[in-house]
Amino acid sequence: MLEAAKARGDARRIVGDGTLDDRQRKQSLAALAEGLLDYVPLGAEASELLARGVICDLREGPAPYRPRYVLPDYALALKQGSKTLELDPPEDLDDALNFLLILYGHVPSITGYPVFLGDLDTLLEPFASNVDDAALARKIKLFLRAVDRLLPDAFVHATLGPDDSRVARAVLRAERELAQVVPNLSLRVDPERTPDDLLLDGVRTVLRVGKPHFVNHPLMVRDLGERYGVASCYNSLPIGGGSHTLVRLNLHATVERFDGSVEAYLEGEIPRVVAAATEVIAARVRHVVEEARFFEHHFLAREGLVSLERFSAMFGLFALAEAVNTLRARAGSSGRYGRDSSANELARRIVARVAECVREHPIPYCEGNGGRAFLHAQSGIDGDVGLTPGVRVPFDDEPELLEHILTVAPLHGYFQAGVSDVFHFDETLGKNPQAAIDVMRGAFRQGMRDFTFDIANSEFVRVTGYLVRRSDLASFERGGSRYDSTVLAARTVEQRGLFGRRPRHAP
Amino acid sequence: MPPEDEVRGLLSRVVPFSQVDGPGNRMAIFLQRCNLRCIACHNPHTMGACTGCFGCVSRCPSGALGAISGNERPHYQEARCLHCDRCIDGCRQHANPQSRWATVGELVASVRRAAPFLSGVTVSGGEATLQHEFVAAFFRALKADSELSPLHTLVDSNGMAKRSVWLGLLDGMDHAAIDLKAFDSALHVRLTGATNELVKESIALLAEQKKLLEVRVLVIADYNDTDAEAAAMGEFLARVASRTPVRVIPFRREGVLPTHRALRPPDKPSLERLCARMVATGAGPVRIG
Repeated sequence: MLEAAKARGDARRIVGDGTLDDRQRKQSLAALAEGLLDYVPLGAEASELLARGVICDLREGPAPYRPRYVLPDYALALKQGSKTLELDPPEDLDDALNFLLILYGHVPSITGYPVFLGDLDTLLEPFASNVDDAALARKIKLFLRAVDRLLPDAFVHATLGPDDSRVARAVLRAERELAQVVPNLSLRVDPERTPDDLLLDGVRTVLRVGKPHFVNHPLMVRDLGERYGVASCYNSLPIGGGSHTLVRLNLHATVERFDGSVEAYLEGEIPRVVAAATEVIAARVRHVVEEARFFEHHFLAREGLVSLERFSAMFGLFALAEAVNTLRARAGSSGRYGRDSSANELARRIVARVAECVREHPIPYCEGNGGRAFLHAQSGIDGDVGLTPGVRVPFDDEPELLEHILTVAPLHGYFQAGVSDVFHFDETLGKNPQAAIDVMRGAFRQGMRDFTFDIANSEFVRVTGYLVRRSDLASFERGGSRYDSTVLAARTVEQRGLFGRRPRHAP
Repeated sequence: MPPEDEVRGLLSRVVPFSQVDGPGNRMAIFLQRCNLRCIACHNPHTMGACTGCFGCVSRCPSGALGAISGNERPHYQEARCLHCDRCIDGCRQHANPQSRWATVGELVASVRRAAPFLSGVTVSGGEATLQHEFVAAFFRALKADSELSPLHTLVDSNGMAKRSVWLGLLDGMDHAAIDLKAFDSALHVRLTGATNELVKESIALLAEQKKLLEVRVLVIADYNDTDAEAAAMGEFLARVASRTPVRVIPFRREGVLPTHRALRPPDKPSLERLCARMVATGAGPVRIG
């Protein structure tokens, strides 16, 4: 009875919330209903760690009914059409753009919007050959405008590259002109294939609109094969697949109540918490597949645009910095992660040990990664106060850019499903964009998986992994926002004091 | 003569990643001491040399500066430094208590660490050519190293160096960028304390050797912002360095000594007029900023 009363109270609050539009209220009501389900069955230890926040399910819901991230094989769809959507394979560019927009409206995810739109240039370049430059520019611009208005959420993500193409250039140019938050973008960079000129175009686009991310293509291919996409913030996953769920480990919480030595932590405690976290993941995966039977009923699966064999799950971690600093302080050292080589080495050992333990726990329905979860450096959610996203260096401890890169680069290789640091460059980069390319190329050589930066004082701000416009934040207080993601951004910016950060690359 | 990698230089500051000291991402090495005393200098603490007065030691709130018996200069410990800059602000010699001696070998090791991320290395200051033997040895070491030789080497200079200095640098120096503070010699003395024949000769020599990357002109309202100056400068450059890009930089007050804070930047229309004038007289491509 109490539960029903509470649910009614929550529903009343949602329905009366002036900062949410009707669609956003509907989303919230759906989440409320979902939240009434019993949690998927867990053992005592896993339940306890979950309740204490050592393991966290990111408010994904107690019993998920669809995968968190779905990455349809759009190339296959364009080739075979869609029976359910009564669409023939498109024959020209207009047809293809229209086809994709329709299909996007039917791709589920944790956000309610598709988190992956495909490799736009690879998908569309074959249709662009008989379209002149002016027409191509206009069609791409209208397409992207529709994407932003129909899918108003910063976690909608498209990829470009690693080769140069007319469509890639048209997309970047349209993005500079449109100045909109959606889609999030990643440009894949292969030192053997991606010309400096395309990178310059990408950097100039960042100068204007805070995107794209730049992604280390060879490293991604090593871990995910050729057919990978980048979804949501910076999550790299197999195309035609995705991730059932994302459960994250709060590394600081694992250290907080742990009493023993660093060796005991690495040898005994990490395996214990990883085992519990993978148990949570497995239970959630089973629910999506066996209870909700997503792969039996959803047309994307029935038409082969996604297949269970290309799915896995994501094992996230965050607050590495706080875990390391706490352990070092207990050992009597003042050396901090990002500032001290012993602390950095401990960080690496912790990540390596977690990766090792994750590999030791098979999870059902995760053939997309050989029956194991992918490792992911989770960028935090609003509510993470005093806990640094993923494996990042806390703002106050950030060293100069060179040292910063050398600190985090050795860790990027472990995170097949994504990791990201956000660097700030000064506005003077506009006069010398080559400087960002130099740093990026060096960063990739050092093994960074993702290179993301924004520009100090720009209208576009890179919150933990997604974009928000300062003007949207300002008007959000007065009357909500068209973008679902602005709510999250507003809370996060406030909690983390994001705008106090100084540019790394100031003259 | 010590072996090349033990040659020492007095460094004011090393910035591992700079995007404003030449093309691409560069390591910028600022050397201590300068042979001019420009009124518009935006880092005056790089001008002077320590005279061993130890006045900075008492100004330091964190004990980063100390006296060590037998040493003529205060000893600086970076680990304790709060970067409050009280020592810098109080130094009457415009020396820099945070400056330090380093060998070519040590500097090359720093470059190596940053090299994967760099287009090149810029040596500036202060006045880089005052320590030309150090700079020459440093550049030679870079060019002799298979990993570091692709790095572009640039000297940022006020041009107050003799011909023999430049000839000694040609070995490892890819380019130089020269500041021309004023064309008229008397005006140059007002702005910098010295006449400018040497600067003009340096520009001509470097252009002839195809080593002149650009000429920079810092424009200060009511000093060198006249049409006559622009025309004279333009004609000169057209004669000796006709294809060399010119960068016109409006004066900014940041960092300038308090006694010179009355100096003003030129307004946008007059900057544009100056550029147009220079272009019209046949100087190379001109850009602002």
